[in-house]
Amino acid sequence: MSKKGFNNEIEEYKELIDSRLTSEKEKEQERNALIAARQKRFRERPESEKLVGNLLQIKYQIENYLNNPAYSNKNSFPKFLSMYVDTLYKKRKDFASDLDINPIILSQIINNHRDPKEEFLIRLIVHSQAVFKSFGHFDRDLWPKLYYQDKMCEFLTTSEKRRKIEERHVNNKVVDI
Amino acid sequence: MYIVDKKSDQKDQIEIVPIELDDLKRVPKSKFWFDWREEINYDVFKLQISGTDEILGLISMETHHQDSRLEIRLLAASKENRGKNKKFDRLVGNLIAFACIRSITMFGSLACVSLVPKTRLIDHYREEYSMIEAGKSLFLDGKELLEIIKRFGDE
Repeated sequence: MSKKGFNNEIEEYKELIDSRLTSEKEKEQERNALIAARQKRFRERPESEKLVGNLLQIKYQIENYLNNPAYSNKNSFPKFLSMYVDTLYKKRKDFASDLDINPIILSQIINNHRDPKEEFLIRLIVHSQAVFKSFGHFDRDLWPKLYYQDKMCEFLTTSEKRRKIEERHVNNKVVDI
Repeated sequence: MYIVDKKSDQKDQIEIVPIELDDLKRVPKSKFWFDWREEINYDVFKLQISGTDEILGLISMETHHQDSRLEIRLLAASKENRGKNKKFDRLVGNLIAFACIRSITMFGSLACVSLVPKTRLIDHYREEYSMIEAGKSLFLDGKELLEIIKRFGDE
């Protein structure tokens, strides 16, 4: 093959990847080589880099959940809130202090015993945007969407049960199609 | 995420979404190099310009949960988007960044993306995507993985 032909082929292969290995022995060798190289790098990795990875994980998981909401009565807002707080703080009361709220109220929100007030949601947005500012961005509507998604799921679950009772109160005198 | 039309320099927003069974008829070997029907048991995604349905690139991935690692099994740009005369830039970078975002979503700070390159292309992947060598494989984790997300993703 001419040098030009060789270079053209290389150029084309830059947009093609085939990692499939057929031999089990080879797969095991590659796996072990990767584990060894990564373990060394992980030990030397600064904590700040690990923190960024864990914070992005929370953000992407929230985005995924909002894009494909699984309707259930499990509350996702408290779950993601506790992940966020526990990733950033050793003690939850320190987060409460940074948001200027009572730690008991924070605990009740995280344990789903109290709904967050609007002021809490706004402070949480401000906090998240400040945290993400140095390495990315955090959409201001993520936390509110998550909270109202929970509320909608709750409504859809409970309203079905109450429907029979409430139906008795509804007359369709006007509509006659 | 966006790709760049090489002639006009125009940026087009893209989406990377799961491939559907019907799509397999639209991704022949002649256009996408590999037989993508063989990948049906893996996570296969297609790249297209938002709001259009022309497939410009494909990626197949396998998740190794035990190793907190996502492996790129196959990746291909469409025939018109390979080589010196390709129509769009950033296709491969976007697909690799997508794999990185997926890995971070699953594994957080332990996230890793690996692939086995052609020997002749090792330097290319090291220079273009800051990949690290281990055995015959190349991988991204830590700072290098975050930088790919920053460069190609929406961060």
